[in-house]
Amino acid sequence: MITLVVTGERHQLDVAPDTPQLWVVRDHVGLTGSKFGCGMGLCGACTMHVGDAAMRTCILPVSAVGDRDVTTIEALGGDHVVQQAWLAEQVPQCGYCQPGQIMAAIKLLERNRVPSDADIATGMTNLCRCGTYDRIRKAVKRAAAALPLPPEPEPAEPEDAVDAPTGEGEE
Amino acid sequence: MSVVNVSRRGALQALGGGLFVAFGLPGCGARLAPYDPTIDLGPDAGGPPVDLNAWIRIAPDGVVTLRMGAAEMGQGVFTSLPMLLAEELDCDWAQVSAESAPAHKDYRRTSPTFPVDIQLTGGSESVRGYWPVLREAGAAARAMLVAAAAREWGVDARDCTTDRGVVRCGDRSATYGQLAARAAEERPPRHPTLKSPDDFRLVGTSPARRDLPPKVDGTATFGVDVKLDGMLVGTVLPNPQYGGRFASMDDPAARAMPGVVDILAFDQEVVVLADSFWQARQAAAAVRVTWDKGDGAGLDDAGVRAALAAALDGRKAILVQAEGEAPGTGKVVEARYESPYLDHAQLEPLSCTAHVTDDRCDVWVGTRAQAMSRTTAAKVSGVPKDRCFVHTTFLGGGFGRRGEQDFVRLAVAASKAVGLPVKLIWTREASFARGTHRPATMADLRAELSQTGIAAFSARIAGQNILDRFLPGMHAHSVFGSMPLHEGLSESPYHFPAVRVEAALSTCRSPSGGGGPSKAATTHSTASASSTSAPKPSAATRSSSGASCWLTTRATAPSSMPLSRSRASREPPSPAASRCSRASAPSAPRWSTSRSREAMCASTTSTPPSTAVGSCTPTAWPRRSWAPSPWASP
Repeated sequence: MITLVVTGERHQLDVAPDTPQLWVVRDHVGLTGSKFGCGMGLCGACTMHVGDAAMRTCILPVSAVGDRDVTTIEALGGDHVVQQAWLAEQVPQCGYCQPGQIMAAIKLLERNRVPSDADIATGMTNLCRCGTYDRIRKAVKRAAAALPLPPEPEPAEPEDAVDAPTGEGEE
Repeated sequence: MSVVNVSRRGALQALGGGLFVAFGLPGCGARLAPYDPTIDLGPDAGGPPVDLNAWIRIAPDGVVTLRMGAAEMGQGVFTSLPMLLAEELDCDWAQVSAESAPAHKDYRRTSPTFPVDIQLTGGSESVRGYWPVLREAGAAARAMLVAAAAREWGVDARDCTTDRGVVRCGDRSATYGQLAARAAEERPPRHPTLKSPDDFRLVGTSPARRDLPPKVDGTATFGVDVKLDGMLVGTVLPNPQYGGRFASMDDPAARAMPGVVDILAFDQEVVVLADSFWQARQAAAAVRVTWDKGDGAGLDDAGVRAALAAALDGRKAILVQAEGEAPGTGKVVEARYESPYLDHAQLEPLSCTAHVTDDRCDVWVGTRAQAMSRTTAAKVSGVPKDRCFVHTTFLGGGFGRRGEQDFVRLAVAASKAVGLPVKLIWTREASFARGTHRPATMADLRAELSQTGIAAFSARIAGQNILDRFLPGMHAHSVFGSMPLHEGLSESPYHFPAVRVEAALSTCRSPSGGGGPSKAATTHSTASASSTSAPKPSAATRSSSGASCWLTTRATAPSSMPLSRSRASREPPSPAASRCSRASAPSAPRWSTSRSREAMCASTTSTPPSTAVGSCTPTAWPRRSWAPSPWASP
């Protein structure tokens, strides 16, 4: 038996330990918002949050998840700022890749609250066969604008000052 | 003239109720319910909703549910087509919900291209094709609502007006929801009056896409997401060699793996059925299939290119367009271009769910060809067509591949064989191995320059005609029938004083456009206007040099039947079937019902493991072939 925590809920599942997380969540937990695209971790349609990271779960053995909490697109509920940005920019076409795109975008924005085009291009490598990349970029920026900026960094220790973000001392 | 029978209710009566895919769009802010096959249409709010015609259902609370005959694959038809209906119905856009219509003749559209009405999502024809149909259906329903109000109030219908779901006359008003039940008793007008475009409120605007909320919150149901009680999940090992067929397999190890229920061999595929996808996927990797390579043996990129070059350099071609005369005095630039076979690579791998019982066949599938899917379901299941129901899900990318029937046929055949609901999910590798590729082409383009631009343009393109399989006989060899090959070159938006376009149909019939068993004649008897020679017989279709392309799949066994069954009852013995003996000691399936052993896959333990399954990796297309030939000038 495998224990899996999905959105705070604990599931005891009779699955082989090497079953990819994606299929455990889809077939056994019953949440089908995360999609199967390539089965090789290449397209990102299966992206979920595992602990603090966005992970491609079609190649992630469920036994490797451990007790980390798993979050899927369903947990966002539709009102998440990134989802609202997706609607505002009318991003999806066929829509199949978009749950994975959204899950990837959320983690990108956690790392980088003001992503540039280049940051989005390198930080969002999910594939979209319809070619919605331009709108994805706009939606990520719209979501970034809607998110509160992170708090000002604490006054740095002298030896760390050289690594502090730019703009220090200008205000 | 009215093009739509606005009293169409046959589809609704035929449905038998209860099996709509409830993945329609949320209306009035309601969240989309997850798929549940027991859900009937629409909520009951103070009484049952009422169908005014095949397209329009109105609930007492005013929610208007519109059934869409076209499949939503990202192109927005679940917004654009409801707009057409809502425009003429004059209902409140905020109260419009859309859902997928069943496959039924009532949901056909007109076609700007073909002279028949069809239910097929393709050709960029959905809005154009449904334009007259849905407007008339909406206008007819509106007239019925007005007539019901006028009768109720004892006034002349001509004195009534409508506005966003309300009928008004003087100071009286009633909502569509209140009127719907009585409106359904009214006689539909034979020739409904359409709005003047000047009065359009919705058409011409760009409202938010109605299908996006469920696509953003993960509740949209794609084909791969369908779930039925007691369903088996399977995956597919397709024959990677076009032109070949199943020979034998070694599967005891796979059968012994956890969750595996059955392994079925068909003419062109092996299907592994299990309790869950991953179990099926793991077991499929343990099945060793030997494919008879048949006519396809030896076909490679070099052979494809040789066939294209032969067609391009040959004498026969269809003269597609010829206008003006080339001056023959200017500088000429010319080049040969090539493009390789390309997979559609829709992001959602192929999937289809089928449930065949003695008297009913249901198919849940993201298909562009709903009507063809229904025909396929009937043919394969043996269930009369009027008892076959196609439930179209969202498509995770359409492109050409989801208009094909092989993945529908296979799911229906598998369900029929085991007597249970079956969902088949193709892996990405399987989808690539059995793609129905955009055909490779080779083209010579030539331009004669004038002082100011191009004085004459000519193009001669060689390739396969993807319509071969659909257009019988010579039609595929006509200018019209070969359109997919020369479209874009012919009738170019550029204006050239002189144009000549020729299309040379390649005899290479590898997996273009479709890829299932082809019945198309392979005779290269083009109606050539540029050649004065009489068409040659089909000897020309195969080169004796050894560089020949595979021509067509032999139609010796329908691949809709597991081979052992087809041998037993339907088909004369075939070489493949005769080598296909029943499992002598299969591992006991965990699941057992009254399914017949004959329906189970044949297996043999004597066949050595084959590497055929792994041989699907396409050979790299020569990189240099992408570049045009060096520019040449006289």
